[in-house]
Amino acid sequence: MDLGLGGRVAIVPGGTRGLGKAVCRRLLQEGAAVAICSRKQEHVDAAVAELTALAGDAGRVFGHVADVTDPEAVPAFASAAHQRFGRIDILVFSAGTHRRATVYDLKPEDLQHHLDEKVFGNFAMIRAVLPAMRAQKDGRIVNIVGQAARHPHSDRLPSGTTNAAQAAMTKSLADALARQNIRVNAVCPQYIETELASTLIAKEMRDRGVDRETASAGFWRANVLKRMGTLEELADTVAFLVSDRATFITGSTISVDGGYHRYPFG
Amino acid sequence: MDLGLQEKVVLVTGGTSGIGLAIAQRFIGEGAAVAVCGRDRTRLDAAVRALRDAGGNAEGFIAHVDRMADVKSLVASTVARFGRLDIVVSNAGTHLKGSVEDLPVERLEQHLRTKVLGVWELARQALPHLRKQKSGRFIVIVGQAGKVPGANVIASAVTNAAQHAFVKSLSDYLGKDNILVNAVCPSRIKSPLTDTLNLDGERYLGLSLEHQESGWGLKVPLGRFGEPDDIASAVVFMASERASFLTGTNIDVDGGYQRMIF
Repeated sequence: MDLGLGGRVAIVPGGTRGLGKAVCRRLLQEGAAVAICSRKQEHVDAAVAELTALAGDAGRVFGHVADVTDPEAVPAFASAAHQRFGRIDILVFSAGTHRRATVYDLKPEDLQHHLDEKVFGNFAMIRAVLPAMRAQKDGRIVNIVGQAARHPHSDRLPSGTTNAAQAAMTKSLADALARQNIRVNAVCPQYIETELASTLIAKEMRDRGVDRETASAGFWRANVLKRMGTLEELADTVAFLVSDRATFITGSTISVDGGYHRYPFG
Repeated sequence: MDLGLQEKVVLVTGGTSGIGLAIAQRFIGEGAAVAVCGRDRTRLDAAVRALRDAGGNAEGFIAHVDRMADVKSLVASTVARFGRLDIVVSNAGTHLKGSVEDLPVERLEQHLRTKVLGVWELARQALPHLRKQKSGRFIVIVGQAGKVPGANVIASAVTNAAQHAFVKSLSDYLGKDNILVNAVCPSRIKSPLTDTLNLDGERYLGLSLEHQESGWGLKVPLGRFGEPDDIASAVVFMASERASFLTGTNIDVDGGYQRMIF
């Protein structure tokens, strides 16, 4: 299936690692150019080198040091990417991590930081790419919204709260931007084998002296497929949503969670 | 993006026109072999001819999906013709408009028979064959009335909500066999169904579809109709190797129409 992504330009904050980097790899394979950012220069440099080697073309990868919680850094990143590539077609927002805490141990400042990254950072990034997308009368935005949005738990208070806000923002912006042909959708991952999950599994293997299969079982026992998903499996769904093959899809959410989500209409 | 659909065998119910035919054509384009079914011989033959003209390996079978014996023979004929079955797309069935007072129970019964009971039997008949491959896809086209109920879509709302419950429950059952069950939810797609459809009641009677768009467009963020090919793209993606961690979920292809965020 031709996704029509050749020559498109994607901005992927958080594209230096994990889900974001996997999305970059997939978009590069489809012929797009990518702009990534991270707080640390060495993370940006390492990811740019890796992605450039994959693309085989230094002209399609751009890295920039920016913190998505910094109100000045975000528009500066977008404008640097626009200057470099001359357009912005796609934004895939995957910045921010998963944070577990309960009402007893969650400090307000930690919740604030989580919201700053995943809600205010997401909002700022979308505002920053809008002028280019409106001028082109075409834009494709995908927010990666962890499944804690739909599955709150006592120990996932920060992610549950934050991700639900992201889901509401995704739908509201989809309504607001549709007539300008800017599509906004969410992809909801759960049980994807990120670097974070791999680290946790490795720790479990060491701590309990068990094999990988046993150690990872604790992570996927609640999903239907009984395995972790790969980063590539998440990236494939993102690539479909930002493609020319999904031009009538907006305000939608797709779960990539091995069947974990329990709501029949979701 | 390589979907990995070459040589797969696909059965599309109601594949002789509109969305179903578009789905069949896209699978042909991806190198799959496709069986379609319909109730009318002339339309079925025309659809199969179109699929073969596109260079495809296609076959058509007469079947009423609301007749359980037909469903059984449809699956058996497909496997006899192509030797296996990998992907089932349940697309048959239409939209039933009207209030509870407009629709005698027999009309609802017929609607449920086509879109719920027939699909139940389709799954029962297809499962042994999908299991042989140790992988498989079962995709149900569920009209958006399932998520957006309303006074004059009550029959479709009841029926399509049942389809959603079926998809989710079946996906739980078949995960262990690596058979993935999902839905694609269309609304506002151009098809023979919408050629004669009057949206938003009498206010738009006699007006062109374009004219009607301006009416319901107020409720649909993208403000235009989608094409059958938009549905087909979501279906072939869902059926592909690129969607191997998706089960028990659905994709809205509706221009932003449905209102739920979770």
